[in-house]
Amino acid sequence: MNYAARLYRQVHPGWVREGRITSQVFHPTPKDRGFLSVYDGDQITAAESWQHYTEVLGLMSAGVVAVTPAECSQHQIGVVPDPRDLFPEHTLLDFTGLTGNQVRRAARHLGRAANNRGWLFGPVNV
Amino acid sequence: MEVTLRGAVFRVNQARMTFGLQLVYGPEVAGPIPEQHYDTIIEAFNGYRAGVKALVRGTGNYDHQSRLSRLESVEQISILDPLDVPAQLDDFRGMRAGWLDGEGLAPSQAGLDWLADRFDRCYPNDVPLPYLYPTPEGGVQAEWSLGSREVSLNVNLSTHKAEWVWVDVLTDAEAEKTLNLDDVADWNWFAAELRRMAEVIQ
Repeated sequence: MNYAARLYRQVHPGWVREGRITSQVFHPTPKDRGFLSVYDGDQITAAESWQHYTEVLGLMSAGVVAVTPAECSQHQIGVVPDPRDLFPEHTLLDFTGLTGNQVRRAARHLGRAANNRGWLFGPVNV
Repeated sequence: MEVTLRGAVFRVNQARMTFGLQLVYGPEVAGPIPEQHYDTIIEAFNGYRAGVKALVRGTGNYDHQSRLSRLESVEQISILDPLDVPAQLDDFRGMRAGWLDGEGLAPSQAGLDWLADRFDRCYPNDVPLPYLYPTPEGGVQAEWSLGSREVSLNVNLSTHKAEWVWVDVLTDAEAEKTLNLDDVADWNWFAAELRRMAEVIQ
């Protein structure tokens, strides 16, 4: 894994305010079971990932932000390639080894990193 | 009836001196442009695509179903701060269950009314305004980025309790506290915390 790679995370429109994303973008919900889906930026562009997410998967996204494997590893978040049929860029951020407080702290760090990096695609009006 | 409205100016008719206001949550209403407020209305109109919103105070006409149909007069109009709290909360009023890719509870109207009222009564003018976001649990999360600190207040709209958390991304220092937002003392407490954090970075 390229530790400087961009891991693209789609942002739900409800989680953007004046161009700033909430830390919840990087906080798994109970449905996520400790994993968050991202796209491997070494295999796909941000624009292509948004197009795949919205047109192929049919989900809502206001745009694309990114963190790196280095930023994830600083908080003991695993980066796990999880290629699927017609979706080889799929990658998982693995929070399962973290306590609740560690997840909360990591989400804030990753949210800050993503906001500082800025939008890799979008935001678009949805 | 006196009204206070928040919305975007989406139409201006200079020949008739009227404008159209698209409420943040609600119908579109038309109203007259008083000469003394012309420049502000044009500023709001020009900022429509950038998301500029205005606060309009005046008198409104209601139809037989008690719905606001038209602005009869405009006494005051001003450009809203992009982080105006009532306007941000109004953005959540149209949400439905399942809003987050099939999951996610919508914040209740009563809860949003309560939180808007509490902010109006208890949040000081000299403290940075928060970025507000819905949570999957049907609550509202207020966030501030102040220097190296990421601060959040996760509000439960049913219990009126909130979890105050901050993390320093440089030192990893953190703190948390449970607040009762029906208690003005707790509002004063976290407002003082925010004020102190904001002063450090100035």
